[in-house]
Amino acid sequence: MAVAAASSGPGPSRGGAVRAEGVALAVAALALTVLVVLPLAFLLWGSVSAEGRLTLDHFAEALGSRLYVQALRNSLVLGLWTAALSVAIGVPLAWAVSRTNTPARRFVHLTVIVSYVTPPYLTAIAFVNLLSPNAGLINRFTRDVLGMPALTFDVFSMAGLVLVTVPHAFPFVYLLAASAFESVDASMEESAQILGASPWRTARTVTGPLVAPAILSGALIAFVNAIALFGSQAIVGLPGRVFTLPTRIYALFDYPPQHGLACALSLLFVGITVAALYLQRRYLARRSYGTIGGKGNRPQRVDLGPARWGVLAFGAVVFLVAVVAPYLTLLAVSVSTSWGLAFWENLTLRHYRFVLLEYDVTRRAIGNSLILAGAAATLAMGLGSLVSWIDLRTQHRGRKLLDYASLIPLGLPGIVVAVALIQFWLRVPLPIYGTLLIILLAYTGRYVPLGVRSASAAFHQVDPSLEESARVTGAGWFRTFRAVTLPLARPGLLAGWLLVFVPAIQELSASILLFSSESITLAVAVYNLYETGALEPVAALAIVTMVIITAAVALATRLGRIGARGLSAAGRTPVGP
Amino acid sequence: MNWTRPAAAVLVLALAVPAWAHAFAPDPVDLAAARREGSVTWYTSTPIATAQKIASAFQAETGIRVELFRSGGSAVLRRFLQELDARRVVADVLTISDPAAAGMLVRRELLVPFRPRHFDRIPDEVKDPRGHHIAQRLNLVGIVMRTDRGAPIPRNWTDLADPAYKGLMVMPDPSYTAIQLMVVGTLSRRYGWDFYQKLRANQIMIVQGHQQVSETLTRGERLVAAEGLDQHTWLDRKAGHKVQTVFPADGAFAIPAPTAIIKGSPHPNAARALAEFMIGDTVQKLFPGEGVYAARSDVEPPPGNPPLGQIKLMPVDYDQIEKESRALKARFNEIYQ
Amino acid sequence: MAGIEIEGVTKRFGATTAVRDLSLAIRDREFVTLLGPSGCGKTTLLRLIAGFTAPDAGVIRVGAATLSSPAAVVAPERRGMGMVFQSYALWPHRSVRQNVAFGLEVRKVRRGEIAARVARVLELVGLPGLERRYPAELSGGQQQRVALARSLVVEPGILLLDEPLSNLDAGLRERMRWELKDVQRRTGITFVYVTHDQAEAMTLSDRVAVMHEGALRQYGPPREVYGRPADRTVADFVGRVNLIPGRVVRASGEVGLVAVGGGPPLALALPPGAAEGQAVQVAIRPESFELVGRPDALAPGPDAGLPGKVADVAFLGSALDCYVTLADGSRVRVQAHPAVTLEVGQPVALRFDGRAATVFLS
Repeated sequence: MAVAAASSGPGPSRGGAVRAEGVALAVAALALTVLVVLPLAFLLWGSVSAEGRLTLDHFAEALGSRLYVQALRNSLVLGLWTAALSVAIGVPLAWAVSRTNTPARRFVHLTVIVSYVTPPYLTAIAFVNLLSPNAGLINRFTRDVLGMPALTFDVFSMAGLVLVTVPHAFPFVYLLAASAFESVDASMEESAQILGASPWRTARTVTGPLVAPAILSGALIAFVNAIALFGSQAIVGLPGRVFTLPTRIYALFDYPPQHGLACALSLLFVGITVAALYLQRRYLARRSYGTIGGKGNRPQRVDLGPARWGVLAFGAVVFLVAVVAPYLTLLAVSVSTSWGLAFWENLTLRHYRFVLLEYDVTRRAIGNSLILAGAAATLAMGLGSLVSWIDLRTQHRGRKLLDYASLIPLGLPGIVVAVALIQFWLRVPLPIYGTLLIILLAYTGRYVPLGVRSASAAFHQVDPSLEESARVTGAGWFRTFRAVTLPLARPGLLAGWLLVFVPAIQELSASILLFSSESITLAVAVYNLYETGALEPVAALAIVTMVIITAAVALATRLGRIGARGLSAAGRTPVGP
Repeated sequence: MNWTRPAAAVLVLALAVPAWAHAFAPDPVDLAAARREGSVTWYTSTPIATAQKIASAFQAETGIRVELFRSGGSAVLRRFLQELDARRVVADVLTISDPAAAGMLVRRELLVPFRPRHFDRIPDEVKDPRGHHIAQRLNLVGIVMRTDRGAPIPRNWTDLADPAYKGLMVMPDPSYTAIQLMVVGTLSRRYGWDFYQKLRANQIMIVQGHQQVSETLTRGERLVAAEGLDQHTWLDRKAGHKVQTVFPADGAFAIPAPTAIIKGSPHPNAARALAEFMIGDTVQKLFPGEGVYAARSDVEPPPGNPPLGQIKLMPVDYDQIEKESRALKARFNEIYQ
Repeated sequence: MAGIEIEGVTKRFGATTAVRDLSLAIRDREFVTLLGPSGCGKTTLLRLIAGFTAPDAGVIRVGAATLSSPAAVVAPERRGMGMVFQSYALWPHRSVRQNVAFGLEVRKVRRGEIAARVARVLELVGLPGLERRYPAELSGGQQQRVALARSLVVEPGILLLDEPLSNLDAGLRERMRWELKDVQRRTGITFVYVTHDQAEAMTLSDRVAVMHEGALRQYGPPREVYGRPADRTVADFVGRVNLIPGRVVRASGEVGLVAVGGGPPLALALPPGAAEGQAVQVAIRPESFELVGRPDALAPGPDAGLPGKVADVAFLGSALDCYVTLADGSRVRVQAHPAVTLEVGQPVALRFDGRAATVFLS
């Protein structure tokens, strides 16, 4: 019967559907080529060519010079330590929040979220104020007040770098572990229990192995993210002479720029990231255990007894280190006339006045960042929706290729994206370099994978039969999309938009190479100001940055929810057995 | 250009200025056209507060908006040259403390020759005779130290190699700060790289720029800046910190910060207005209050500081440093791994 | 192990009462099924017996020990019971051998003995030699058997089964039923079995506990629950039943005359409290009727049966499924011999043994 309907359906609309799909495919392919494929190709070419000839000199220098090998090693060490600590912090917290009766669980969850949203370079700046070897607040306290100079900690070291990176990285492990803990079917654990296993043994032999793939996955993602953070590595690493790949690559763009070497180093960097991501995929694929099956009972919460206060204390310590310490410090420095003089006698709002009213750059930066983040989120979600819709709902042969192409940026650290774009756009006779547009291209390209994944999750929630029933009653492709698919997928799409907006508005690693005076972003403005050494205005600008980010996210969430709720209520078709 | 004459010659020339002045006819500035252009983009490494003051003053006086881009000297130069590579000229006026780079820019014919009013009051050593670049201010560099922490007072640069200074010192990174590149280039030639090896043995701390150096001292993190900018010292002293610049007996440095107009920039008339403004009374008389030695010889030094003529200065071969800049940075990085 | 005693157990979840003041006694070595529709509380009761939740009121005892009460619950790991879950809950990261051996490892049995007991129990459930396989490599039926083996190997006194066959297809399900019954008989373990499939309950159990909306409606051997349903809900749930409206014509104690479906009064057993003129519902199973094709051939009287007309006929292969409209218009489902020829509209008479009918007050 379905066949008859298809052949007797109105001819033009079917042809129109095919044409529309073709256009969608072409647009997506073109966008991905310009955003990702071509710059990457130019990066590859740049790494093996010098003055038009093929050469391996760049790689030889990258792998032969002590400078760069040391940077490679430092990056790996940083990544591994960060991943390890992220697991040590993230897993117990995830377990406590999702599976036990630890009190104030929402507070712990909130700590993780705030930690994630805080730009890592702000954390770095704050900890420099707290832990610089001689003048850091905490060090001064331990040395002068407690009289224990042996306890001072030099933040300008690899240890310090790990310290300021972990707050940003552990939320990845936490979120993945919490999700895994929550999807363990209760019967898995209950069956162990009824066979006589104590709660501890059950956790060790059943729960643990079941969530291990997710935890490892989180650790690898934490690793990949940690090594790409230019800001904290420049702020904490440079004074300690701990050079890492991003800071070395950045230095290569001094005048005269060494493009070839930068490309070669970038490719090595990409190699590490891709290896980590490949491991992550293999782990997940091979031992991905199904989640809730059958009736799917939620497991009971473990009663920790008095030990639950200990767990809460642990969460409180994380809160103190990852949230309270940075923000309080920045706030204190921002209202201090000159940090280093007696604090309470030197309070002022002068720096806020400077940053907000006198320093032109701030206004430009705020405007630029909001526009860029908003536009990038929209474009990334738009392109992501296009790619995932083509993948899920059409049968085009090229769709898998499109999907893979859209995932390439996952393996590209921020600074490498910038290097690739520079290679490409310097050679194309379009004056894009130095404008807002090139930064927009960098952001959009970077976050396309996030867009694809969010859109894919959102579309998965819409049963194809809902769309098919609309098509059968005569609605064309576009009308179906607008009336059925979009309203139902909207909440997921909006969530994805926010997921891109937040990192985009604090992005530094790519912006630092691509900005110009008119296209300066908030993160770059903060970093620039920090470079000038003006501690107090930097802190003021940092607080202003956080206020802007929080306000933007709150506004977007509010708008999104109102829109989503209304539309989804209107668009929901009754689904019955 | 070869800066072989010591600063005493500057004084002589300053006395001869009135004779010059009568023979000098400045290039005109079309203010109406400048106002029509509406804005001017200024790339500079001038300390942020001062830069913002200059920009605001210019805006107030002429009504022309200043798009300020401020960063370390290397970053500014890099940004400008990258944009040039991409065939985009965004900057109208460039002011960086890098006379070596200025020379390079002149050779590449990227600058506009312009001799505005008061051009004759700028000493010859710190300007291009045809007006391709004119110093805006002089960066006075010496050894800066905390006076209230009992650190020993050095007399020469070489004193800093003494183990008495172990763990006490800080200095900026020549890869980020052009001024430091001049100093390192000169001192390494004069005393050899051994001098910097010894500083390393003394566990000297490397930070990015002069403002970080100043802040390291005011925080008490370190007590002696092996190379510090006097302007910051002056400002910190004014704020109440106990710091002092020591002008070494073997010579301090007076590195000019040249202002240049970029050829083919988007706002040529506004650029000239700004360049003229830069050596006009408003700006030049602003500097002493900011702790800066103005480029113009008829402006007094910052209050409490000795006049330039009284300071022994070390000559700098800017051309040589410009040629060797990459090698210098690489060698420095090798020592300070 | 002694039997299970459930006394006055109540369990609430928020505003809903899942189990309502329920009392039940299960004898040692018995196979008891908790039967009822979704949401009747049977799984909740099973989990109360297992110790995963505590009752809000009442106690659960096994032998002399009180295992569950509102104040104190002995942890599931210390009850010495076994449980087979609907989803089997086999641990995917462990092999069959490791799954089955788990309980023995917890009890610190020696390695050699573990291997022997695992092999033995796998034989018992019909899966010899599959020790090295992983759950993902097994079929649904095999997984179910491994789950059973895992519970049996520790030799529990009581085994709790939560709809273990509902994920299997029909043919396999029927086969597995017999095997489960067989295992129970051979091991002598007390089985407490939960299902919504009344055919399954009938096949397997020594006694069936029919539950509805948290309360126990009837508890007895299958024959009794089927033949003498305690109330309408039991009658309706267990097997197919016709509920025909009727009226008491004469009542004398436990027996009376009831006019059924507009037909002549018939002698039937009456429930207590039935008065003359009272409207009642008469429950008769479709297979209890004898379909008489030529009613005029019968002598009038109480044995003549109910007159009616054939409304619909369907040939099922093993029987004829008919709908007959009675004199008062009520439709009755009847099962007839497949060889009988019936036409729609044909007048028929329905005869039945009065003992096969249960009368309920309306």
